[in-house]
Amino acid sequence: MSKYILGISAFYHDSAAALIKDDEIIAAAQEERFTRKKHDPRFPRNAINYCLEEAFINSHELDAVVFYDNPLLTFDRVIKNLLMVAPEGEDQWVKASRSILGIKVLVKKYISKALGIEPKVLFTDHHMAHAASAFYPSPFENAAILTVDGVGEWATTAIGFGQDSKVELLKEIHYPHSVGLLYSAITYYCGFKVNSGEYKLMGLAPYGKPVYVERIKKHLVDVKEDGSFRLNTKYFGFLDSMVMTNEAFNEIFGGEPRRPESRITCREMDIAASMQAVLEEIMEKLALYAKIITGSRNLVLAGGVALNCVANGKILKEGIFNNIWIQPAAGDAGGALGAALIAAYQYFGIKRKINPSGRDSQKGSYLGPEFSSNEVKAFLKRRDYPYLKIDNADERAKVIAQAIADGKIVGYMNGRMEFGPRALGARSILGDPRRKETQSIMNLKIKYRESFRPFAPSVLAERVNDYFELDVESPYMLLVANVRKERQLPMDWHNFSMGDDEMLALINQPRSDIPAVTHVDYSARVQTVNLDDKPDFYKIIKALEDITGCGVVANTSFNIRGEPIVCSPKDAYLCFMRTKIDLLVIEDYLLWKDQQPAYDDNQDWRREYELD
Amino acid sequence: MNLTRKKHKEHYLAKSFFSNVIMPLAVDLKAKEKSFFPLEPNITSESYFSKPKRSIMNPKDFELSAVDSIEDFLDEISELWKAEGNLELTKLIAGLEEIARELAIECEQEEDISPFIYVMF
Repeated sequence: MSKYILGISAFYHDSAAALIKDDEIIAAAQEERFTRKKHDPRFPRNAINYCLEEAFINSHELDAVVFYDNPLLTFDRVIKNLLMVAPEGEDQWVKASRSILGIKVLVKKYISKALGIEPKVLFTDHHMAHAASAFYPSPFENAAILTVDGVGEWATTAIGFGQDSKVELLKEIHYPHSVGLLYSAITYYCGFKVNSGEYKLMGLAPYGKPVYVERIKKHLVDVKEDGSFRLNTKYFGFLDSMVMTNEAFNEIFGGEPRRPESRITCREMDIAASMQAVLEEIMEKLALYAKIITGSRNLVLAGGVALNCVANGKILKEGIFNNIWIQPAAGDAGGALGAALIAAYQYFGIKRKINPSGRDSQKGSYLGPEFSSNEVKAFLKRRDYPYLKIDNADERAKVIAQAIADGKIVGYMNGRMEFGPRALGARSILGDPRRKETQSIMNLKIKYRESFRPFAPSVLAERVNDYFELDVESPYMLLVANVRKERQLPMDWHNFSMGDDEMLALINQPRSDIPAVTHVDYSARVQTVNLDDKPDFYKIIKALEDITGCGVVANTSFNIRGEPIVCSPKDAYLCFMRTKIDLLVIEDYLLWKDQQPAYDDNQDWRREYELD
Repeated sequence: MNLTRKKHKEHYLAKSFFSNVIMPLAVDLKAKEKSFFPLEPNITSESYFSKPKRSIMNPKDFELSAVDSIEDFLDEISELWKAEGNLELTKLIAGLEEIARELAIECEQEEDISPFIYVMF
């Protein structure tokens, strides 16, 4: 008899649900995609409903619901933290007590009430869930496991070992000593939003020089040879106040934090470069130590810090491990999947089967909802939107590729939505990577976001080494590698002194023959696209290569700044009409902007989404 | 009780708990130089790693937090503190129970959670 196990992450950041049947991942989705509220922390009732629908089961058919965190140990940490910082910390306590004592204490009751049944409710430790999400879907029989995030119960970092159906944690670093919280503190100081702006800090780093490394290591964090670390908490506000940093922290970097949305100066660029360098040092040392204590040739990674694809790329380049696999939903959302998986193997005793193809079991992370051709047609007909239907996938790919080659920007929605923060060709905005203006058009007229970040290259898997210094697959856009030397173009840094205006002087230079996806340090956040994993997307890139000779497309998530990635045809159409996207593709339907009826949007929609 | 009054009462209880229960205990613990975690680096230490209290999830571990009532939850946390030798923390139980009862939710998290109070979650 098959077991249906539902994993849930909720009540802090990026709620999600994941459903497995025995050891097969059936569905997984973040709640934000349905509620249209970025990083929605609320109970993931929409995501749960979707998962049950995908499996054609009712909630009473669930064998267990597994929560990704241990509320008892989290509560223990909260109370001990209060006792350590009192008389400070009162504001935090008053603000948080409702969630901590009101919801998390009775998660089991909450789940029963929300689902309308009394399921078997199980709990897993937070880093155990991350470790499970990294190891079980990987293609490895055994692997060293490294999980690094802000905090989960007491742990902030864990090293473990996975073998067949068993996951074991061997070493931990405990709160308040967290490289995730250190990175978030610097993110905040540089004027970006905590828990969502960390990837901007990573994107800003190549503009700066790592001149603050010694200061960070002298004052903020002590790093040992085995990669373990400890913060000096007198520089941080997160233990006892409503901000991440304090006056002592400001003094290290010579002044107040940058105000959000204000001009970015050399100081922020240098701080970003320095923090990134410190993070890479810690991650490399942790990986090396994980290798020493496990002896495995394979490494798997999860936890929010594992989304730092630059650090991941450095670990790969160091050659510490033969193989690396990173959970694409590495943050808390992925904890839902890990919770379900570890219960399957270590509670229900299901035997793990590795994908016989040698590939992972994550199904390309295309684990979310899809919409049939009939559903899309019904949507378009009801609204009377003009469209062109092209049934033949090869023909459709040619039309889309030609549009991209002509410099058009394409909103592309096809198949099941991605699970995790990256758009992997199911909910993507696509452009021509060869054009130097693509980056600024896509950033400023479509995403309405800062101009300094380039887009990701999605490249035919078999051509990756022709464009990038990378000879392994990177299907989840979680590895950074340099554009090949022979494709790089010399850059003039002379006019670049400080400030965002001067950043544009760099951005507008063609850095390679694929400038829209080449960062100013020649790095690129690579997605390899495989015919088996995502045939429709592969065909578009292949057709683009046939037309232009370039087997790469510029890819960014299908959303505007602050908006969750689109989920439904309605979300996609709204985003299409609110931006300068030229062509919208929803399954086999193509909609051209100049053929659409005038869009009458009375809402001040840019205020609809809080800027990230 | 209307929502505004309920929230006001919750707020009052949380503040009162902090002032009347947490604060005196914190002062007492400080006087005894009791600490629950280190606040700064130790340059002489070779490593900051520790061994996890639970390295493998056994079947019974999955069921430990699956409590049905506030009393059960507070019993569990009380047992944990006793087992650690932190008996003085059990003085918090009565106050925590009072707040938890008031907060026993009708089931919705209404407010956004500030990322700056990460450590509370």
